[in-house]
Amino acid sequence: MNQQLKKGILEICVLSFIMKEDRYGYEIVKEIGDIFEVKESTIYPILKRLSNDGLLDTYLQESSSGPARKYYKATSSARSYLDEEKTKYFEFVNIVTTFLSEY
Amino acid sequence: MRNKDNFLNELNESLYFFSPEEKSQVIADYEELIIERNNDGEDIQNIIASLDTPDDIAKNYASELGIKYSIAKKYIANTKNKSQSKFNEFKNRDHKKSKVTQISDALVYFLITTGLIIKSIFKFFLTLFLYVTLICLIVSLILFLVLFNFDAYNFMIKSLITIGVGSGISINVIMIYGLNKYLGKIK
Repeated sequence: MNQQLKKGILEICVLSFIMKEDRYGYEIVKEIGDIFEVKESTIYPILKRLSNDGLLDTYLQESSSGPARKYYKATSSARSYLDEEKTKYFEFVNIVTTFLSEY
Repeated sequence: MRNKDNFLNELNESLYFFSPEEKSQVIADYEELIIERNNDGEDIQNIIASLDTPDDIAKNYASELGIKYSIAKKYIANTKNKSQSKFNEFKNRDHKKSKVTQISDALVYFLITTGLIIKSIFKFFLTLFLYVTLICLIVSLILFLVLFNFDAYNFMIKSLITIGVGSGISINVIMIYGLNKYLGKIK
Protein backbone atom coordinates (compact mmCIF):
# COMPACT_ATOMS: atom_id res chain seq x y z
CA MET A 1 0.00 0.00 0.00
CA ASN A 2 1.17 3.52 -0.79
CA GLN A 3 3.18 4.85 2.20
CA GLN A 4 1.78 8.38 2.03
CA LEU A 5 -1.80 7.12 1.91
CA LYS A 6 -1.13 4.69 4.73
CA LYS A 7 0.31 7.45 6.94
CA GLY A 8 -2.75 9.63 6.47
CA ILE A 9 -5.04 6.76 7.38
CA LEU A 10 -2.83 5.75 10.32
CA GLU A 11 -3.13 9.23 11.76
CA ILE A 12 -6.92 8.96 11.84
CA CYS A 13 -6.79 5.46 13.32
CA VAL A 14 -4.24 6.37 15.99
CA LEU A 15 -6.27 9.40 17.00
CA SER A 16 -9.48 7.41 17.05
CA PHE A 17 -7.82 4.69 19.17
CA ILE A 18 -6.68 7.26 21.74
CA MET A 19 -9.99 9.13 21.62
CA LYS A 20 -11.81 6.14 23.09
CA GLU A 21 -9.59 6.04 26.17
CA ASP A 22 -6.09 7.14 27.21
CA ARG A 23 -3.47 4.77 25.86
CA TYR A 24 0.21 4.24 26.60
CA GLY A 25 2.90 4.13 23.91
CA TYR A 26 3.53 0.41 23.79
CA GLU A 27 -0.20 -0.33 23.72
CA ILE A 28 -0.63 1.90 20.66
CA VAL A 29 2.43 0.48 18.90
CA LYS A 30 1.26 -3.08 19.56
CA GLU A 31 -2.39 -2.67 18.58
CA ILE A 32 -1.99 -0.39 15.56
CA GLY A 33 1.23 -2.14 14.55
CA ASP A 34 -0.39 -5.60 14.52
CA ILE A 35 -3.48 -4.52 12.63
CA PHE A 36 -1.85 -2.30 10.01
CA GLU A 37 1.52 -4.06 9.84
CA VAL A 38 3.61 -1.01 10.64
CA LYS A 39 6.58 -0.69 12.95
CA GLU A 40 7.01 1.57 15.95
CA SER A 41 9.25 3.81 13.84
CA THR A 42 6.19 4.82 11.83
CA ILE A 43 3.84 5.25 14.78
CA TYR A 44 6.02 7.23 17.22
CA PRO A 45 6.62 10.09 14.75
CA ILE A 46 2.87 10.33 14.15
CA LEU A 47 2.29 10.56 17.92
CA LYS A 48 5.00 13.21 18.13
CA ARG A 49 3.45 15.31 15.37
CA LEU A 50 -0.06 15.01 16.80
CA SER A 51 1.37 16.19 20.15
CA ASN A 52 3.17 19.10 18.44
CA ASP A 53 -0.09 20.05 16.73
CA GLY A 54 -1.84 20.17 20.10
CA LEU A 55 -4.11 17.20 19.42
CA LEU A 56 -2.54 14.96 22.05
CA ASP A 57 -1.34 15.48 25.62
CA THR A 58 0.96 13.13 27.49
CA TYR A 59 1.36 12.21 31.13
CA LEU A 60 3.34 9.60 33.03
CA GLN A 61 1.70 6.95 35.15
CA GLU A 62 3.31 4.26 37.29
CA SER A 63 2.55 0.71 36.25
CA SER A 64 2.50 -2.36 38.44
CA SER A 65 4.39 -4.55 35.98
CA GLY A 66 7.26 -2.38 34.81
CA PRO A 67 8.52 1.13 34.13
CA ALA A 68 6.35 4.25 34.30
CA ARG A 69 4.19 4.48 31.18
CA LYS A 70 3.72 7.50 29.01
CA TYR A 71 0.01 7.91 28.37
CA TYR A 72 -1.48 9.79 25.47
CA LYS A 73 -4.69 11.72 25.95
CA ALA A 74 -6.76 13.38 23.23
CA THR A 75 -7.17 17.13 23.74
CA SER A 76 -10.46 18.99 23.31
CA SER A 77 -9.50 20.11 19.79
CA ALA A 78 -8.83 16.51 18.75
CA ARG A 79 -12.53 15.57 18.65
CA SER A 80 -13.57 18.08 15.99
CA TYR A 81 -10.39 17.44 14.01
CA LEU A 82 -11.02 13.70 14.02
CA ASP A 83 -14.67 14.14 12.98
CA GLU A 84 -13.60 16.30 10.06
CA GLU A 85 -10.90 13.89 8.95
CA LYS A 86 -13.25 10.91 9.27
CA THR A 87 -15.85 12.63 7.09
CA LYS A 88 -13.18 13.41 4.50
CA TYR A 89 -11.95 9.84 4.63
CA PHE A 90 -15.38 8.28 4.12
CA GLU A 91 -16.10 10.64 1.23
CA PHE A 92 -12.80 9.66 -0.33
CA VAL A 93 -13.49 5.94 0.12
CA ASN A 94 -16.93 6.39 -1.48
CA ILE A 95 -15.44 8.14 -4.49
CA VAL A 96 -12.77 5.48 -4.93
CA THR A 97 -15.26 2.63 -4.50
CA THR A 98 -17.63 4.12 -7.04
CA PHE A 99 -14.80 4.76 -9.46
CA LEU A 100 -13.35 1.27 -9.16
CA SER A 101 -16.69 -0.42 -9.61
CA GLU A 102 -17.31 1.57 -12.80
CA TYR A 103 -13.96 1.19 -14.55
CA MET B 1 25.56 -5.94 16.72
CA ARG B 2 24.19 -3.13 18.87
CA ASN B 3 23.37 -3.52 22.52
CA LYS B 4 20.72 -1.42 24.21
CA ASP B 5 23.09 1.37 25.30
CA ASN B 6 24.75 1.58 21.88
CA PHE B 7 21.37 1.72 20.23
CA LEU B 8 20.07 4.52 22.45
CA ASN B 9 23.34 6.48 22.11
CA GLU B 10 23.26 6.25 18.33
CA LEU B 11 19.61 7.22 18.32
CA ASN B 12 20.50 10.25 20.42
CA GLU B 13 23.12 11.25 17.83
CA SER B 14 20.80 10.66 14.88
CA LEU B 15 18.11 12.94 16.33
CA TYR B 16 20.33 16.00 15.89
CA PHE B 17 17.41 18.20 14.77
CA PHE B 18 15.57 17.85 18.10
CA SER B 19 16.08 19.88 21.27
CA PRO B 20 17.69 17.99 24.20
CA GLU B 21 14.23 17.60 25.82
CA GLU B 22 12.70 16.21 22.64
CA LYS B 23 15.63 13.84 22.25
CA SER B 24 15.29 12.50 25.76
CA GLN B 25 11.54 12.01 25.20
CA VAL B 26 12.20 9.82 22.15
CA ILE B 27 14.93 7.94 24.01
CA ALA B 28 12.50 7.40 26.89
CA ASP B 29 9.86 6.10 24.44
CA TYR B 30 12.29 3.57 23.03
CA GLU B 31 13.57 2.58 26.45
CA GLU B 32 9.98 2.01 27.55
CA LEU B 33 9.26 -0.01 24.42
CA ILE B 34 12.30 -2.22 24.91
CA ILE B 35 11.50 -2.88 28.58
CA GLU B 36 7.81 -3.60 27.87
CA ARG B 37 8.66 -6.04 25.10
CA ASN B 38 11.29 -7.62 27.33
CA ASN B 39 8.65 -8.03 30.06
CA ASP B 40 6.48 -9.75 27.44
CA GLY B 41 9.22 -12.37 27.19
CA GLU B 42 11.27 -11.17 24.24
CA ASP B 43 15.05 -11.24 24.37
CA ILE B 44 16.64 -7.75 24.49
CA GLN B 45 19.08 -8.63 21.69
CA ASN B 46 16.18 -9.73 19.45
CA ILE B 47 14.20 -6.60 20.22
CA ILE B 48 17.11 -4.36 19.23
CA ALA B 49 17.64 -6.37 16.04
CA SER B 50 13.96 -6.05 15.10
CA LEU B 51 13.96 -2.25 15.42
CA ASP B 52 14.91 0.02 12.52
CA THR B 53 18.40 1.55 12.54
CA PRO B 54 18.76 4.82 14.51
CA ASP B 55 19.27 6.75 11.27
CA ASP B 56 16.09 5.32 9.74
CA ILE B 57 14.11 6.09 12.88
CA ALA B 58 15.40 9.67 12.84
CA LYS B 59 14.57 9.98 9.14
CA ASN B 60 10.98 8.95 9.85
CA TYR B 61 10.68 11.63 12.52
CA ALA B 62 12.19 14.20 10.18
CA SER B 63 9.89 13.38 7.27
CA GLU B 64 6.81 13.32 9.52
CA LEU B 65 7.69 16.77 10.87
CA GLY B 66 8.69 18.18 7.48
CA ILE B 67 12.41 18.43 8.27
CA LYS B 68 15.08 17.51 5.74
CA TYR B 69 17.40 14.88 7.20
CA SER B 70 21.06 15.52 6.46
CA ILE B 71 23.96 13.27 7.46
CA ALA B 72 26.34 16.25 7.18
CA LYS B 73 24.26 18.31 9.63
CA LYS B 74 24.11 15.35 11.99
CA TYR B 75 27.87 15.13 11.87
CA ILE B 76 28.38 18.84 12.50
CA ALA B 77 25.85 18.92 15.35
CA ASN B 78 27.46 15.97 17.09
CA THR B 79 30.94 17.38 16.60
CA LYS B 80 29.74 20.56 18.24
CA ASN B 81 28.22 18.62 21.14
CA LYS B 82 31.39 16.64 21.60
CA SER B 83 33.56 19.75 21.60
CA GLN B 84 31.19 21.37 24.08
CA SER B 85 31.41 18.44 26.47
CA LYS B 86 35.18 18.16 26.06
CA PHE B 87 35.42 21.86 26.81
CA ASN B 88 33.24 21.53 29.91
CA GLU B 89 35.39 18.64 31.07
CA PHE B 90 38.42 20.85 30.66
CA LYS B 91 36.77 23.85 32.33
CA ASN B 92 35.74 21.89 35.40
CA ARG B 93 39.33 20.95 36.06
CA ASP B 94 40.27 24.34 37.52
CA HIS B 95 37.88 26.36 39.63
CA LYS B 96 39.66 29.69 39.83
CA LYS B 97 38.18 32.18 37.39
CA SER B 98 40.47 35.07 36.55
CA LYS B 99 40.45 37.07 33.33
CA VAL B 100 43.45 35.10 32.12
CA THR B 101 41.75 31.71 32.58
CA GLN B 102 38.64 33.02 30.79
CA ILE B 103 40.70 33.99 27.77
CA SER B 104 42.58 30.71 27.79
CA ASP B 105 39.24 28.89 28.12
CA ALA B 106 38.00 30.64 25.01
CA LEU B 107 41.21 29.75 23.22
CA VAL B 108 41.00 26.09 24.22
CA TYR B 109 37.34 25.95 23.17
CA PHE B 110 38.29 27.40 19.81
CA LEU B 111 41.12 24.91 19.35
CA ILE B 112 39.02 21.92 20.36
CA THR B 113 36.22 22.93 17.97
CA THR B 114 38.56 23.58 15.06
CA GLY B 115 40.35 20.32 15.75
CA LEU B 116 37.15 18.31 15.76
CA ILE B 117 35.86 19.99 12.60
CA ILE B 118 39.14 19.30 10.81
CA LYS B 119 38.94 15.72 12.01
CA SER B 120 35.44 15.28 10.58
CA ILE B 121 36.35 16.87 7.24
CA PHE B 122 39.56 14.84 7.16
CA LYS B 123 37.77 11.61 7.91
CA PHE B 124 35.23 12.11 5.15
CA PHE B 125 37.39 13.52 2.37
CA LEU B 126 40.61 11.66 2.93
CA THR B 127 38.88 8.29 2.81
CA LEU B 128 37.04 9.38 -0.34
CA PHE B 129 40.26 10.70 -1.85
CA LEU B 130 42.13 7.46 -1.13
CA TYR B 131 39.48 5.31 -2.75
CA VAL B 132 39.38 7.54 -5.84
CA THR B 133 43.18 7.42 -6.17
CA LEU B 134 43.12 3.66 -5.79
CA ILE B 135 40.57 3.27 -8.58
CA CYS B 136 42.55 5.67 -10.84
CA LEU B 137 45.74 3.68 -10.28
CA ILE B 138 44.15 0.35 -11.10
CA VAL B 139 42.46 1.73 -14.22
CA SER B 140 45.67 3.34 -15.48
CA LEU B 141 47.57 0.09 -14.88
CA ILE B 142 45.04 -1.87 -16.92
CA LEU B 143 45.01 0.73 -19.70
CA PHE B 144 48.80 0.73 -19.77
CA LEU B 145 49.02 -3.05 -20.13
CA VAL B 146 46.29 -3.22 -22.74
CA LEU B 147 47.17 -0.31 -25.01
CA PHE B 148 50.94 -0.80 -25.67
CA ASN B 149 52.47 -3.33 -28.07
CA PHE B 150 54.99 -5.65 -26.56
CA ASP B 151 58.76 -5.42 -27.14
CA ALA B 152 61.75 -6.04 -24.89
CA TYR B 153 62.68 -2.41 -24.31
CA ASN B 154 59.11 -1.48 -23.63
CA PHE B 155 58.78 -4.45 -21.36
CA MET B 156 61.56 -3.18 -19.14
CA ILE B 157 60.01 0.24 -18.84
CA LYS B 158 56.64 -1.38 -18.45
CA SER B 159 57.78 -3.54 -15.58
CA LEU B 160 59.42 -0.59 -13.89
CA ILE B 161 56.22 1.41 -14.16
CA THR B 162 54.18 -1.62 -13.16
CA ILE B 163 56.30 -1.96 -10.04
CA GLY B 164 55.82 1.74 -9.37
CA VAL B 165 52.07 1.54 -9.83
CA GLY B 166 51.94 -1.69 -7.86
CA SER B 167 53.72 -0.19 -4.89
CA GLY B 168 51.46 2.87 -5.20
CA ILE B 169 48.45 0.61 -4.92
CA SER B 170 49.94 -1.26 -1.98
CA ILE B 171 50.67 1.98 -0.16
CA ASN B 172 47.09 3.06 -0.83
CA VAL B 173 45.66 -0.18 0.48
CA ILE B 174 47.79 0.00 3.59
CA MET B 175 46.82 3.63 4.14
CA ILE B 176 43.11 2.95 3.72
CA TYR B 177 43.33 -0.02 6.07
CA GLY B 178 45.40 1.89 8.60
CA LEU B 179 43.24 4.98 8.39
CA ASN B 180 40.03 3.03 8.94
CA LYS B 181 41.55 1.26 11.89
CA TYR B 182 42.89 4.48 13.37
CA LEU B 183 39.67 6.39 12.89
CA GLY B 184 37.69 3.50 14.32
CA LYS B 185 39.82 3.69 17.41
CA ILE B 186 39.59 7.42 18.06
CA LYS B 187 35.90 7.69 17.17
